[in-house]
Amino acid sequence: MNLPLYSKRFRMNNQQFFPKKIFIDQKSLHFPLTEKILQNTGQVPFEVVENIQSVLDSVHVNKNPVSLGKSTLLITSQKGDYVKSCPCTPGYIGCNYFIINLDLNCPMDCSYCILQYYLSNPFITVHVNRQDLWNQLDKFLGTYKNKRLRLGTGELGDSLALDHLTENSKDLISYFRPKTHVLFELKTKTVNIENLLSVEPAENIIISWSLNSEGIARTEEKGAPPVHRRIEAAQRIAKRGFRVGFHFDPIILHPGWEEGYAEIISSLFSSIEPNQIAWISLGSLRFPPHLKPIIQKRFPKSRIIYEEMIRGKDGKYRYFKPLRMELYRKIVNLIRRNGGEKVPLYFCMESKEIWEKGLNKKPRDKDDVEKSISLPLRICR
Amino acid sequence: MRKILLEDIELKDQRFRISFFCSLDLLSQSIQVVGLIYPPVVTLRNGFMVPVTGWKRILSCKQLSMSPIPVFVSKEADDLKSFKLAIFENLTTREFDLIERAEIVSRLKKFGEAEEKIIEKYLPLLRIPPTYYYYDLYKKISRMSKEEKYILNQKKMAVAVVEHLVKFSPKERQLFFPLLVFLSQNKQKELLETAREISFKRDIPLSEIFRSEEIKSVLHSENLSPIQKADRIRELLKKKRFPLLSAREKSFEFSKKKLNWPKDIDLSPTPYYEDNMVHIKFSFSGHKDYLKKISNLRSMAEKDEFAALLKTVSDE
Repeated sequence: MNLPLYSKRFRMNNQQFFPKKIFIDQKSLHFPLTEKILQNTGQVPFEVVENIQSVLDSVHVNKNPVSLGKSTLLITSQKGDYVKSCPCTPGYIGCNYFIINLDLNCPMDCSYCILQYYLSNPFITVHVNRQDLWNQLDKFLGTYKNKRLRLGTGELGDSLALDHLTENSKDLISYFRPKTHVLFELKTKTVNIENLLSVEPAENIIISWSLNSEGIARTEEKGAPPVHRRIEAAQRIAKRGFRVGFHFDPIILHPGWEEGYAEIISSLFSSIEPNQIAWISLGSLRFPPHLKPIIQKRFPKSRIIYEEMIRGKDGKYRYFKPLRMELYRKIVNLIRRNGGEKVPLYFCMESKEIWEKGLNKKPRDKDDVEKSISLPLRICR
Repeated sequence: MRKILLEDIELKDQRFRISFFCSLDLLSQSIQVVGLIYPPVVTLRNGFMVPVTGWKRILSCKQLSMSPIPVFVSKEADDLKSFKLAIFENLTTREFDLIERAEIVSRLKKFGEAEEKIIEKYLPLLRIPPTYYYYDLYKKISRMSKEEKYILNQKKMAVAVVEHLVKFSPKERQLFFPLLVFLSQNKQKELLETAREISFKRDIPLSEIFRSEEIKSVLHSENLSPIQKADRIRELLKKKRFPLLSAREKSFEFSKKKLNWPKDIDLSPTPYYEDNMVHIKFSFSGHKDYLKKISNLRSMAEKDEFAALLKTVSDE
């Protein structure tokens, strides 16, 4: 079934994302969310396919499978578990986060993105068997009745990039609103907040933005809005009554990095009251070795991988420790000096030594980290 | 099948030739003893008989001054179809080497085969992963000069190394070849990667790196063997690429030396100084030897230099 080609071009920083083509797994055709997406995508041509694998195989012949994947939407069903424990990385301290794998991949094209490496499926993928999600979540939360939990959807894709098509945020917020022992986070780089502005905020819902210096956003985060627009969106959300979070991740060494991050942190705290900030995480650039040639090939002008990086305890490339220490110390100082003295800070995938020297904290394990992030929020009634 | 004179075969037309660097000795010996068992295939192009398969056999016969020789004459006028005959005839009997694979990929494209078909159908037959990346890589290899291909073939350079090599210009590659041939595969990769990254990071051409005084002095040294030169240059480039890590390593080794650290007790930092710990490892034979080494370690720990050594791993 082919409809006329939808000619409207998209740019994430100006408009919302619309795919050039949609593939629908035949087995997922009957789900209500499929119908909703087709309504919201208007005249984008779609094709119902019996064998998803044959479509996926054909992508690899393409000169740039990642770019092709970013203009194609695949509607299918989640066959495995929707909810998983965030794997963190071996040899470093985790934070006890749980991820919900709703959508896979993202229309933005960040040079450092690990998703480029998941070439087995480069399509932007939406899993539409939502009743399975709610059933799995009920079961999962049932096993953690008395435990404070942090869950989020922004691990394998941006939480809001497709929200005008899927309206995920509305469904997820109404599901998590009564579950007050759970902190639910939507994590994004976009300004796609219209659906969020239309729903009532809740204390246990956190809307988070990934931030960087404007220079890095401009050169390394293709298709993502400038950082000041992300902060403006966060300000609107905070004014609406939601708590907001921020992730300086990946922090990247680049010429003028200190001034670049100082400018953003100053702008952040002049736009948002510190008591509305649930948390700020910090993580420096890290990536598996196989991503390096992909970055070199897809982003030949990018210089981010040429700083002094070593193979960490997890085998991934990361900055040599003294460089990481310098980055963290300066950024933590900037946050504290700009009014964020009481905002919970945490490191993503870092060692005990870095925690101790960078934040003056000595977490023994991920449970300790979890407590330091969620306890100050006092959300349990 | 018919017999034709060798001079009637146009050897200058090499459109279907896949192998360029092969020894004819064994085959010539065999033909001398038992004759030409499998006749080559030739085909008519522009009024000349052009070899399609059996290049080595034809060249061996020439070496042995055998003429006329038996051949099959193919009536196939399409170059792509004829070339496929050459591929499949070889494919059933042997594996292709790196340069042969590159020739096949580029020739298939030249004869009009669709890129998608080359990737999906032919790359798996050639034991190459069926992706555009590898298709492009092998096309780049085929564009290298005959001299470069000869070195790659003779030194049996791995694809993993060659994929770094093709990122440089032909002129830049000339700087590397004299060094690469003396290094192991991992060191070859490291050398190429490090040089390229320095060039990118500092935004300077590779030739400028090789013009630096310290590199020039190694290259022109009369006291170093080619292997030593290759290793020394690899080390120098590593220092330029990882200045902080190299300084840390130097400082750690300097402290150890100053302490006069015993050779039978291994003292090392964690890989890349990622943890602020050091490892000590030693073997001992019997109680007395154990106490001696412990006592040695205790006396080391009391020295100021030991505190300095620990400081090098602690980032304080």
